[in-house]
This record gives sequence, C-alpha cells and structure tokens, in this order.
Amino acid sequence: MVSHKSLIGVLGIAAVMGIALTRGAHAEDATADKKEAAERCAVRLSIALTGKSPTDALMSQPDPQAKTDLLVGSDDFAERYARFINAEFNGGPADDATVDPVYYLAKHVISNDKPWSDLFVGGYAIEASGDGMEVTEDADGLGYFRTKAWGTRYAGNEPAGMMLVAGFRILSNTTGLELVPSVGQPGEDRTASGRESSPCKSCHFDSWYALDTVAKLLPTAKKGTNDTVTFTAAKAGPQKLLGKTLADDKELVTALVDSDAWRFSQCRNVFKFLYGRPENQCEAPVFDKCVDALTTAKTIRAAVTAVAQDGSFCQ
Amino acid sequence: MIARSIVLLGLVGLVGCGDPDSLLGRRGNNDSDSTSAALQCTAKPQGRSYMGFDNNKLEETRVNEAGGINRARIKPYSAMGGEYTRVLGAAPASLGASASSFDDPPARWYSEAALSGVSLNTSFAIAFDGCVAQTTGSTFAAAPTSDTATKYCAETMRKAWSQSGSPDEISGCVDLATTKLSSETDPHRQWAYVCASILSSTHFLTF
Repeated sequence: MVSHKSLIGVLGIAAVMGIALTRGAHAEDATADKKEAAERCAVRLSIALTGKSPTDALMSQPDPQAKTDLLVGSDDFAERYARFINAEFNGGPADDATVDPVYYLAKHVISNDKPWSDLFVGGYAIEASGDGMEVTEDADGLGYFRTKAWGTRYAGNEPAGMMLVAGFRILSNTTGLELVPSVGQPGEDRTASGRESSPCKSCHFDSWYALDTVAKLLPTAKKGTNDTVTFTAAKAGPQKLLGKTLADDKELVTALVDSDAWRFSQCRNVFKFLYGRPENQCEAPVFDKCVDALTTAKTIRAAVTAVAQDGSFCQ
Repeated sequence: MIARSIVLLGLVGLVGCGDPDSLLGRRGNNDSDSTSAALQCTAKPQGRSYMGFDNNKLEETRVNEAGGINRARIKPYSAMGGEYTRVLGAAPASLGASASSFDDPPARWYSEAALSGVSLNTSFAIAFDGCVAQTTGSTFAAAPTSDTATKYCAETMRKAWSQSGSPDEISGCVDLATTKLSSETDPHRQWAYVCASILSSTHFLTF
C-alpha cells in the first residue's frame, strides 16, 4: 500500500527535475560562481578517484585539483582502480577471493608505485593466502598471466588443450583487442586443422593477433575432475608474430606492452575510469598527456593524475 | 501502486530520455538540430597518432564529441553516505540496507553506477527518510509560505547541488512547497517532501 503522500513526493521530484531541464541563466555573482565551481570540482574529483564524498577540507579548497596527488595517493584510489581494472580484464566477478589475481596484483602495483607494465610483465607470484591472495617477488612470474588461478579460469575448452581463451585475454588486456566470438555449427571441425579453414582462419592464423599462434606460446591445459587443470609447458617453439620471432609467452607479452597499442589501451582505461566513457576527439591533447605520463613516470597514478589534474576535467 | 509506477516511469523517462541536457543539467535550448551540432567536436585539436599492430590509427576509434559534454555520471552508492551527510548533517538510517537497490558491486569488482526505476524510487525514499529527520525542529512547524519556501529552496539547492538554483528552479520548488503539497497536512512532512525533491534531482544524483 502506497500513500498519496508518496505520490506527491515523487511528483515533486518530477517537478524539480523537469525544471532542471529548462534552466535559464547562471548566477550573476562571479565569486559565488567560482566557489560553486570549486565545490563541484571537489565532488567530481573525490568520487571519481576514491568513490567517496569529498572531505570538508577538499570542499573548501579554492583549487581542488591542486590536491589531486593526495587523492590519487590514497588507499581508496588503489582499491577503486584495482577493482576497475579487475572488472575491465575479467568477464565477471569471482566469488572466491583466492582466485582473483588481477585485483590483487593491480592493487600491489598501484600501492607500491610500481611501473604499470609490471601488472603484465612483472616478476610476481600471486598465490592464495588466507581469505585472499598474496603477492611475492618471483623471477619466473609474468604479471598475473602465469598464475594458476588465471590460467585455470581462462584455460578454455580447445580439444588439444590449447589455451585460445587465455591467448585472447592476453591480447585484450594489453591492447584492448575486441573480437566477436563465433558460434560453432553442429558437426563443425573445431580442432586446429578445422580452424585452418575459412572463415576461422582469418582470426586464428592470418591476423596480427593470430589466436592459434599466440596459444602455441602458452602452456596447454588438461582439465581433470573437480575443475582441476593441469598445465604442460609450451612445446611448439618460437613463433612469428607482431613482426618478430617470439620465443615464449614472456617475449609475447613484452612485445605487446612495448607498443602504442598498450599505451593507448591503458590510457583509454584511465579515461573510462575518470569519465565513465572513452576519450573523444576533442580530448586528444589530454589523452596525449596521459600517454606521456605513462611513458615517463611509468605509474598508473601518474597517468591518472595527468588527466584528473587537467583543467578540462572539472569543466 | 499503478499510478505511482506510471509517475515513476515518467520520472525515469525524464532522466534517461536521451536528451544530453537532461543529465547535464545545462540550460540549453530545445532545438534538436542545434543541440546535436553543439555536441560535436567542431574544432578538433591536434593530437598524436597511435599505430595499432594492424597499422590502423587507433585514435580513429574516438567518437566525435565536443569537450565538456557527456560528463554527468551517477554517484555510486559508496559515495552517497558522505553526500547525504554533507547536506543533511547525517546519513539517512535507511541508506545502509539499500546497497542492492543500487547494484553496489561485490568485493574486488567495479561497475558504473546507473539509474533504474528501483534506484530512483529508493533514492527518493532515502532522501525523504533523511529529510524527515532534518525537518523535525520548530523551524519547520509552520507550513511553507512563498517567502519561507523561497529561502529554504535556494539554500538547500545551493548546498546540495554546489550551485545556485536558477529562478525557474526555485520557482518550481516554491510551487511544490506551497501548492502541490496541499494534501499533506503535516508541515514537517511538507518540508521533508521539498527537501527530498531537491535531493532526488539529477543535480544531486550526478557528479
């Protein structure tokens, strides 16, 4: 049962919102305008960077963007950006915290001001520990790509155990590659030899992102009972891809990260995080600042700061 | 319930009708042609070119939008406690149990906040809850008049929105307070409805 009072209230919202669509003139007083703009900037900065309402101190700042470093340096930012990247790089949330390596490594890299490229090529092991995962140094690590949890999640179902899904994920996470998955037909040969035929061939062998070629650089996965997966080291040897001869997955990811595509993709993520959408044509100069920061300072904090501190962010 | 649903649907339509000004809270004209032109990046700045592995220019995937538009985002649930506290002095008691109404993401996950019929309705209910607590004092013992409503609307808009209400907005708020709430006989609740309407507007719910 809903009372007429609630209805009146909702009508009230509609009335005010309707009016908001047809607003007339801005406030006259320039000083008041400036203070109001600074407050709105504080709200935008704080929520975008930390997910929280601004502090009183930030709200009273005449130039809140001067405090961007404090917000980006906070634990709240590390948590929010790690969550954001985890959502960008995975198909859905993991129920179990002990199999969520992207989140834990991203937070480690951000919190310790490590180069953002470490998320992809850094020497780390990320293993279950208590209710979560622990990040430790490991010379044999390759970002989160060699973790058992990640490999298990993206092992795929290729008949011979080729990790085509993991290969695509590596390409997508590093360069932003987007592909439309094909739907198999009954009786279709989906083995490696079948994929060599058209139309599968173009994505699996001919394109710059040749999925089968990428998968040959990865371990093979054999699924057992109870969702267990056993991995066997890659045996196919060096592969020609990206204009190079790549010996293994490390050389593959290193080549992907050392590219315009990686820098572009990571700064597009920065825009999605700060603006809720990718950058547009008019924002090209600010985007370039992000790439410059990522190239020189190398941290994601620097890249985010370059965009959030630009005057256009609070317009 | 049906009547309320219809009104809510209308409200959702106002928020998500596709008119970019509706979410921006800007004071644009209603000419769709001039609006679409204003949304475009007509003076494209010189940016660098980025080459993909297929030798395509990655910047060509950017949409043709002007700077300073398409900016309004819905405030996430995680920020609302602080936002209500900033305006009302305390977070409404009903906010704490409302995470599911706003699709608050699970642990270690992120999703862009979005409005829905459920979240809008809950937003109003939470705002009203907080506003009832704020309007219990003697200041709100008398029903709104044109003068008292004008003052209250202007002050609350300024505080909640971080911008002064336009004459039209204040006029609409006063009209709500002095005429459209006439069936509500409790002055405290009349003021609470006025307060809640301001805290349920796009100016407050977006950042």
